[in-house]
Amino acid sequence: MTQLPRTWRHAALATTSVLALSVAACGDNAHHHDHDEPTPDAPPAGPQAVSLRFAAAVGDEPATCDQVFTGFGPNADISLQFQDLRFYVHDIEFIDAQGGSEPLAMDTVSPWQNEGVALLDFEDQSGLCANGTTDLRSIVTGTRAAGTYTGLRFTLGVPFEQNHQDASLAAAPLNLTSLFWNWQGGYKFARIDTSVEPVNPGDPRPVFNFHLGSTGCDGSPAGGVTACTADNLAVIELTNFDVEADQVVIDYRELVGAIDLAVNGGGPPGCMSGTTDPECPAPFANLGLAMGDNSPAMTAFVAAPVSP
Amino acid sequence: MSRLASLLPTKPVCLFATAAWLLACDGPAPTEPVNPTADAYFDRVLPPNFPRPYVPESEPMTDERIALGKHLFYDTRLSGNGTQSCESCHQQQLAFTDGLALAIGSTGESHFRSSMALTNVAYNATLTWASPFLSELPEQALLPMFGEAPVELGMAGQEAELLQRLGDDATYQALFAAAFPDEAISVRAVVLALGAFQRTILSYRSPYDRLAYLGDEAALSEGARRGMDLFFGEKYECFHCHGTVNFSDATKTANSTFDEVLFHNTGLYNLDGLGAYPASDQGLMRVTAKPGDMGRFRAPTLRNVALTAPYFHDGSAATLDDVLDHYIRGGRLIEGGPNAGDGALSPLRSGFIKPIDATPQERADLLEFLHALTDEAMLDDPALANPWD
Ligand SMILES: [Cu+2]
Repeated sequence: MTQLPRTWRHAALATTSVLALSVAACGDNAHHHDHDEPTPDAPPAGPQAVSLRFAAAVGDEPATCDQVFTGFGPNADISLQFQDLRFYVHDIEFIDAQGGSEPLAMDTVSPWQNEGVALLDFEDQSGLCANGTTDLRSIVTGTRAAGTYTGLRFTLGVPFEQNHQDASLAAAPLNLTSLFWNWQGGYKFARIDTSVEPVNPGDPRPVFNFHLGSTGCDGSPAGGVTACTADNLAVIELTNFDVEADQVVIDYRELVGAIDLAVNGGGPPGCMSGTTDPECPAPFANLGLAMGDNSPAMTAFVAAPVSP
Repeated sequence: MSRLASLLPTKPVCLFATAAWLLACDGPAPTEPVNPTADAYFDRVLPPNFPRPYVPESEPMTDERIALGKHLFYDTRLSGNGTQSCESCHQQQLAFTDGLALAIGSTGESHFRSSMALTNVAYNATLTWASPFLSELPEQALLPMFGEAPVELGMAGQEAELLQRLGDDATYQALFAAAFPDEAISVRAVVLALGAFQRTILSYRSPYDRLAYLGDEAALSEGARRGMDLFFGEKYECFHCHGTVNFSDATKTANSTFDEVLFHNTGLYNLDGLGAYPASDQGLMRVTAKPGDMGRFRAPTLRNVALTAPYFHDGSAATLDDVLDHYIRGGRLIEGGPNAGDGALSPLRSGFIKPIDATPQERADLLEFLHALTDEAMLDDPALANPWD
């Protein structure tokens, strides 16, 4: 992956703010969305092929398996390496200036995209990502109605109907065993695992596994899962997003914030979507997912220009 | 009594005055789709009047699939580091469990639950200790193979490696070709074969079965006979949760017309006076997140129960005597330590669990009956033994 531009964070902060009603909120940033309003009488053109780009980052750096990242934790003294970095998305929509939306009709691309669900994969089995796959995937392709769009919305995760199918029968990309989550009858929507560098070399490495998925699932033997009290499907909205110029970036630093990745305060190490896991509220909030009554602001995903 | 009636053997047991009140002699006609290969297998093996398990039509039980499944079941190549097979936690001599309180996975990690016996797993309406929706053996096999919290066989992310290991082996090339002639070796084929084999782990030859299904009045000792009356009687009420042909209410047979999902809190723990179980395992609530599901688990079969110590989901009862203590007291009292509390006072405890004024003779008779559920022939059955030996 190419290096992210130094400016992407700045642009990102503006684009992700729910209150950023217009590009004026971007201040002096010569933003690429400063184009004309769509002409009302422009003739509708046929569907456009679209390639929506994603990236994974740690602050200003691309997130990769073969590198140590520093400066985590409450005292900014924790270093870590990735062990996995994959997630599913669906229900991708482009938003126009009037607030209307057009869906992305997702292509079928074996093994990455099927029936409207796409896998993004930023681990290449190198470094500590031993249980991953060598392949990488950073795009979602499809078609959308012609038009002028200013924003993007997508859902992180697997739709209910596909999430609770028999995983032993599922087609790619829902056939990766490391993304199975059978005891909950579903999939890990996102699997972002890190391994913390020990204070003394040779000591055990604490792990911080972030597994997002539906919890509180009930059902029957015949009907399978019928409902989940916490579907944990995060609807991600980026209000300023130009598919020609921008990419969707998940920033691990924003996802975990300042929590202590080296100490397990309860439950499994990291957050496996447990409602009482002390390591869950922070990353959940940063994905805009409520745990309890809060309605947090999503910060983990940002829009950033693709470097030339 | 309607559902018990549909699940219990129809003819011979009706001869027993002691148990006849909970039995009907005419079960409903089968409504599930037939599975010809499964029907043929069970017709060949089980006594004529022994209820047949329900097997989905999509899961044939051909001899070839059973043979493949048996090889896979006993193969340590099914674990990531090659140290464990299914058998590691499910050993024939122990009625397909492992004798441990808590299972140990291939990487040495301790499970938070005890390995379940696979005896008559074909009859289970749901699988594992507490899942409301996991009912298919092939799907269940994904858990021990690919589960990571905790690690059991430790194959997550290594499905390509697994298929390579199997595909490189001439024995498997032949076994897969015979079992799945039109398919490549796949994870789906592996778990289908494992399911076919696991359905052959059948217990139907115990002294109790000789009495119940073959009419052999001499099969049970006097004590076991008295224990059977206690087991099926209102004083002890064991049969409410451990009834049916499989001594578990969470049973599905080919004659079942409804899927009933049954889980029970037996008052093993009461950490807070409100019925809390230890955070390490809160039963069905772990899945459903419903507070009322705290501590609810599926009733395991009692077939071969004399061989499956230690007992309960967490192996916290060492002997059948301890188990009887718990049920006779109407809930377990833990006097000290982090799990202290009186399960008899748990508001979540099943209504069938209540103090019983038991005599020493009754205890001895119940124990004798439980031992009469042991199917010695299953433990030595070469059809279930390691085919690689
Ligand atoms: Cu997890």
